[in-house]
Amino acid sequence: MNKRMTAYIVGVLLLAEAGLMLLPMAVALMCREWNCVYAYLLSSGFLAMVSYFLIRLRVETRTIYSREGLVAVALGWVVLSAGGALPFVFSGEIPSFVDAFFETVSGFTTTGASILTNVEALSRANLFWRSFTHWVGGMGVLVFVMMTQSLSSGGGDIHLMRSESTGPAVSKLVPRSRSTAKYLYGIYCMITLFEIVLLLVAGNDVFTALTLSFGTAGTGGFGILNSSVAAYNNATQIIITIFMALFGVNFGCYYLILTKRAKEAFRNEELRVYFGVMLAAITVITVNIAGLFENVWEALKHAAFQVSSIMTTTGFATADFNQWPELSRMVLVLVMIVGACAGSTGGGMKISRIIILCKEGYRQMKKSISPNRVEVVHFNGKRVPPELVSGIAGFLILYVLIFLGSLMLISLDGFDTTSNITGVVATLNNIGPGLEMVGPTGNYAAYSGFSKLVFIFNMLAGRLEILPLLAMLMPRTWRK
Amino acid sequence: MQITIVGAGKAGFAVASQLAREGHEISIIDKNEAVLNEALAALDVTGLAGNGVTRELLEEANAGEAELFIALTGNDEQNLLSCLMARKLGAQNTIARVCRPEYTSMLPLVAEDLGLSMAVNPEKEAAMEIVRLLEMPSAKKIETFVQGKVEMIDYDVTADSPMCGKQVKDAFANMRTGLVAAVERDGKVFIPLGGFRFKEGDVMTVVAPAGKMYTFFKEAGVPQKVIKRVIISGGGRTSFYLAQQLLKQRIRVTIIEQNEANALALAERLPQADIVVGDGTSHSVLDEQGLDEADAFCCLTGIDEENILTSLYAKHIRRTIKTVTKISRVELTPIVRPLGLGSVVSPKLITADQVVSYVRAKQNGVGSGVLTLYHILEDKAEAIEFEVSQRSKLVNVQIKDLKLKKDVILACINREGKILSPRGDDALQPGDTVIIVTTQTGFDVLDDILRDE
Repeated sequence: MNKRMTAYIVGVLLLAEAGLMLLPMAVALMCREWNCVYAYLLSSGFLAMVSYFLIRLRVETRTIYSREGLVAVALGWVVLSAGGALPFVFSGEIPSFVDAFFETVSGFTTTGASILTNVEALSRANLFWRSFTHWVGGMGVLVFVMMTQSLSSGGGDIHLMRSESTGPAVSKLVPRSRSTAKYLYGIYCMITLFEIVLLLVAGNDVFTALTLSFGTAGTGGFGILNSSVAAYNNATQIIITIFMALFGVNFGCYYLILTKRAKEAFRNEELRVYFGVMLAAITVITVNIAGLFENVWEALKHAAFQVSSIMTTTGFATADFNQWPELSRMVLVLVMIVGACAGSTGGGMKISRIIILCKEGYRQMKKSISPNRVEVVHFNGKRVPPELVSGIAGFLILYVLIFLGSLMLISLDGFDTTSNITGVVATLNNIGPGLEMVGPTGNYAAYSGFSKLVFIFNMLAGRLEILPLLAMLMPRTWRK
Repeated sequence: MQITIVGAGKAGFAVASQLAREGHEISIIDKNEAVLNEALAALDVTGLAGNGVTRELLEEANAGEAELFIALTGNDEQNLLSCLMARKLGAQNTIARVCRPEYTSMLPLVAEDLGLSMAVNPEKEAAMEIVRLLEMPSAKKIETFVQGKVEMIDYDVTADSPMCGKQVKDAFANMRTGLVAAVERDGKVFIPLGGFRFKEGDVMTVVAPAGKMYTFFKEAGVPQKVIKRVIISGGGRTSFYLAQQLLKQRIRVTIIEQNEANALALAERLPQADIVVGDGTSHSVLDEQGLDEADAFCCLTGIDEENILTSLYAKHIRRTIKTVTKISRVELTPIVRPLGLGSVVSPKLITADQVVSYVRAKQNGVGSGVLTLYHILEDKAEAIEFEVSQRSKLVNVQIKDLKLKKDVILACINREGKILSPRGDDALQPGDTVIIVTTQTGFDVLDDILRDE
């Protein structure tokens, strides 16, 4: 394995992070939070120093393969989160490192699960940084760096992009990695900017508009108020509902629309199923909760917001859905697992995986009654190669195993089953709030340090889609 | 430039890797998913699996918007059809690989109707390169630049070479036919100045106007053997094109081919050549055909390993024999380098070079002062063609007075189509184009080669 190159890539990531920390520092300066200015300056300087040593490593060959791509991304994200936790610790607002680490991992993985009991006590700079990690983590930090320079020689960057982007079969929008990265971030910035403007028009102040937009764009879910999004006006809530749904769409579709191939985009099977499932869930919940609200429209507004938020794995809330009837709660847990589209900033299993798995299951059923039958699985009108189907099946197996293992480990703390199950589901799928204790009004503060580490693992595994993280932890990856 | 390539085989891969490195946007189409995935993992390109003739796939690959469409599969008819389809969909230029000798005469007739910009024939190009190598037996490798007007050859300096142990300025005093642009020693490339002293084992790179190379070596005192008798092992297409060319030059040719039917077909089309049915790797067959008396031995069978072994055997039998070995799998090149095999020819690489120079020529005049850029000596050096502008600080200054950077040499001047080998008292004029050879990178305009004052 090319360890020096891997270290170099991690170094570049840290340098990018050190640069990005200047933004919350500017916020701290503007808000005269001198304590935070110092915390961000110190963190940024420290990260820059570490990255200086890593970048200066003599790299003999810049060629990387699948293995280096997986490890560099997994290691990069762990180190990145550890680095991002520093300002929380230095500013003294989250003194425990495990807690700060949890919060940052939750930020970068766009989970939005928090260990804070009172979010409003945080300084402006820290609130900004918390939300900003969502935005950066949503599209990926390596993809961000890739816009400015090619990290490896030849086509190695694709391995990094594959490990960092979401979905079962990552492909480039355009032939060159660098141009692809630029398109992705271009689209990302454009939609984010659009949301910021709309939120400002809806009457929010600049800080709120920025942080809410970052949280929506990355499908993260960190709010700046204890009541999440419930306290904002109707217009704000509706804007956020729509934009959450938009950020859960495969960015390839936006590229098609940009290149005047909108027809192709709307024909996309994943996109149709995505909106289909979303509408179905909204309908069921609206009917189910209609009695709790004054009128149907109010029920529809809350149902739409919650479904859009949970399905795209954002995790904002306008109502305490923990208090809703059991059917609605169950529908929400189901869409948590389904998740958003591949190639979006959202998490979960991804619609495309679910579609292919269902089709494969159906095929197996048909095959069991007529064993000689020949049939191939189609997706988007094209044959899905058998390796991809078995790859997705393998992903499902690992997903379930990690889910069960985590559940076992956190049950040591002795909390109730619903909290535990939904807590693991909400972290593994990068949503944030679950039910009961970890519901929209609750948080993860009560869990022990060990359980928090398990959740951290879940969040990273969910964001990076399991394999990079497991590849990094396997001893044979490192063996000579 | 947006380029679509059909076929991710050896030729397709070589073309794609060179063009992707030069910053073009490449999409590859290939039927074989495994081959395609290999290319996708190694290169910064996109790929699509499927048949590159079908309209659906070409549309999906956006081939209609390609500025260049290249079909490089092993099947001539398919390549031509692909190119025709791409043209109909809107591709601006198309290149097809067409290698069957029967089709050579057909091409000029139909190229226009097919909208074909260029046809490449790797086997024929390989044969032409072998012909050039046989004309200059002391050359290990020959490359051409500026539409074939400039030649560059690699020459092994041995203990018997006249320049061995001498300095550049003494070995080539007052010669105006060419110049030594680079020397490779122990894997490193140097740009030699007058005081550079040659050692045994150096590989010297000479740049000269086309046709002057022979004179250059004669003046330098290198004995030039004339090839009169060539044995070719293997009777494939390359051998056919090569034999056809050599016979025109009244060189005696013997082709050893294993397959009787192939041998018969060759005998029918090449009545003046000696065609022998036999195993070209068998020493008794080779000895019987007079390997110990032949001037050159070309191993052009379809199996690289056989070619390598028989070439080594031939060198062993007759030390002075000129051998040319065909190696199709480019991966083998670094492995055979230490074997001292002599000249190596890879048809796929030649095709890649051809396509790449076509693309570069298309790009000329866009942006910076660089007209064309060639990677030479296995990427260890660059040859860059610049246009000399009116404002350049190099204009009308004698070359010996120019303060050039280290590791840069002015290799040749193209003045109104005439190629000159520059000497110290020459001066550049506006409108000239020059080729510089350098081991550094990052020259954007000609004045960059001057030392910073």
